[in-house]
Amino acid sequence: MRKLDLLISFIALILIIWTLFPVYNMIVTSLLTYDEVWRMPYFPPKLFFGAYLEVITQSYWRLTLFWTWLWNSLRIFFLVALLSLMVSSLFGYSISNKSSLSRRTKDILNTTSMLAYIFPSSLLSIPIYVLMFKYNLLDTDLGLVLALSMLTIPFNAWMAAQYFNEIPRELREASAIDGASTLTFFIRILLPISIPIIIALSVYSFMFAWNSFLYPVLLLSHESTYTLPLGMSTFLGADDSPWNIFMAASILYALPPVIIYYLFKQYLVSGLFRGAVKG
Amino acid sequence: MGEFEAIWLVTMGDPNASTRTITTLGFREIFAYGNLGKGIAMYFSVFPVVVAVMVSIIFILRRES
Repeated sequence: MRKLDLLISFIALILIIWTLFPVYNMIVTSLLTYDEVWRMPYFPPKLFFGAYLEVITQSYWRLTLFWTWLWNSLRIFFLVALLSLMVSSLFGYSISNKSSLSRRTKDILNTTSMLAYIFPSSLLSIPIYVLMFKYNLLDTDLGLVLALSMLTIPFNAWMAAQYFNEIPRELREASAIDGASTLTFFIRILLPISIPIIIALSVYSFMFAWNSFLYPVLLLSHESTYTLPLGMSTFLGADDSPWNIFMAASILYALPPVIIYYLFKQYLVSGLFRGAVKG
Repeated sequence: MGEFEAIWLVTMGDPNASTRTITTLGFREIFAYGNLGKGIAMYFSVFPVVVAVMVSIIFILRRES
């Protein structure tokens, strides 16, 4: 039995190293000088923060818009989280057990949102591009926000519905006796007791948008509207490859999700599965 | 099947088209060669597979509930 434990932890260790090595390599490369990059050392000879400095002061010529791109990313992805939260919590309530829709309608809505989640999102990219072209939404915040939240809403709605199912029916009945309409009940009572799932869902959609590349690549074409990953991808076709600067920019881009994760960790880990029965 | 981003960023479907998938192929057809119809047809060619997967998932979910 003890041998088995050892074996399992050994395999887990290997998997962890396998997963974390690229991250480690990213950090090491970002601390090198330009001349050292192609020697590819496993440890930085000395800590050199010139690459970070060059990113932050935007002095490298491909990164003159770094802060604009970061601001674009933050703004657009915050809007995605907000919109998909608003739509998916309402949608999720309407397909949960306690809403007043008929069973058949709920069934259809539930299956549809499930299917929309399963459907490979990259196959939808061209139709969305054509639509956005038609309605003049290319290069605008609105276009990208609509496209990205369309991808996160199905899953979010499904998760929200699972959570709302746990909420006791008596709450709705008690509020109905006091004269609350469905919308009042939703805003004044259901949302406040669903804070954990709300935070979990908005973090989920924010992360999804943060990782997205295909939709920004399709929908944005002016350099000043780029999100940061898109801006950094212009590095890849370059003649010179300042990988240390690239990696420094990547690490700066990877920081906000880490910070958000640690801020909301308690909600993300425990909040998703806690029952909502209170009093 | 819908994998696009990693492939596009790492290899762009090369060397010698060995890492091309439907999505990268269609994307290239549309934005490099400008054949919108042809590219969409490529995307649409995997719909039978997608529909088959979806229908089977619906059946599995129905049986569970």
